[in-house]
Amino acid sequence: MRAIIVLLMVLSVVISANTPVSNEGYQIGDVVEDFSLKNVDGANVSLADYADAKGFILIFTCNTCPVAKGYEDRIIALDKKYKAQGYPVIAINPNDAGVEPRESFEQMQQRAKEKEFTFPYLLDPDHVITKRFAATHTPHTFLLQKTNQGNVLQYIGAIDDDSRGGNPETKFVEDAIASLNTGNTPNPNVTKAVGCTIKWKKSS
Amino acid sequence: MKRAWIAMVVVVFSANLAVAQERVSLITLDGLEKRLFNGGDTTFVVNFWATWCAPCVAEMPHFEKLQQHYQSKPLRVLFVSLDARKYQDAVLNFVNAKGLKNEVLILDERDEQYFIPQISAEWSGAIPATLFVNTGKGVRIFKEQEFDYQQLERNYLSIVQQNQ
Repeated sequence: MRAIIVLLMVLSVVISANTPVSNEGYQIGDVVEDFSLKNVDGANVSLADYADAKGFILIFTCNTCPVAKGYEDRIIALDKKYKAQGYPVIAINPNDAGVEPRESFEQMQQRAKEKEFTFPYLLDPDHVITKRFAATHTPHTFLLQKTNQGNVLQYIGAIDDDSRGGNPETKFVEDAIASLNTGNTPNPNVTKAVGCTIKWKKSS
Repeated sequence: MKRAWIAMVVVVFSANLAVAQERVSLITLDGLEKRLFNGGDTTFVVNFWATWCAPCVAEMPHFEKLQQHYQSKPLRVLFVSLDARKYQDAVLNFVNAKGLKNEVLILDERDEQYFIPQISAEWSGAIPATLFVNTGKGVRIFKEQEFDYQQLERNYLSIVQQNQ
């Protein structure tokens, strides 16, 4: 009997070790757990810090990806326009500085200073929050709406419809916020865009 | 006489332009899909890249090596650039500077909501990404990842060795 129990225990360990970690992140409609990540100014930032926010424009972006850099001015413009309306931008760098040294905290500080970011630019060590959202590339945007239940994910994808030319015709994030402001859900609520793969930490 | 000179310059210039356009031509998604569909028993390895994408540029030699190694086989490696069409000259300069041998095309599509899901529902849009197609065998495999040579060759051979 004891042998069977031991066998079962061993088996369950083997099974759980073999079960792949799901890379399914939050889906549209999910309540997003708060986080606390270090900003370029050294202070930690959480969603709970924003008592008056109606929601958040959460953007995974970085120092090196040309597409992400091509969006920096548009991200700054988004923050300027929508912070006042209750939807501030929060930027998170999903890349590992061990893989790409130009993604270091110091270089993030420098980039934020050079471009005069008006929003937090957060470090995500070990990709913990990046994986929670299942962000795949930079820039990758997640629009959250604050509700009584918590911060609900309402839109995933591109900022606008021109990741490569900088001459957008459709501004997905702005349209999504406009929908939320009129009590509707965004349509589309998921879009695709060309971007740079995330620089994942090499498993040791 | 002067007119003849101009005519000659125009001829030479347009010939050069034609060569340039041939080396790096534009292709619509429809055009690309038709080509893959009509490929018969050819295995297409379609690598999506851009001049600005460092990991894409880093893996290009593996795709060059694959084509050269299986030169006598029905294999066709295509480098399909996602650079905007206005950068056609920049792509051509890049191709020449790197001395690429594989065929290089620029995807002439602006609407990412159209072409990304059409190429694969699994694609987030991140590059590098590679599509393996063999119409004869009914194979279409999409990989959003970087390849080293061994991984690339393994993927190619797994298709070749598949029974119809």
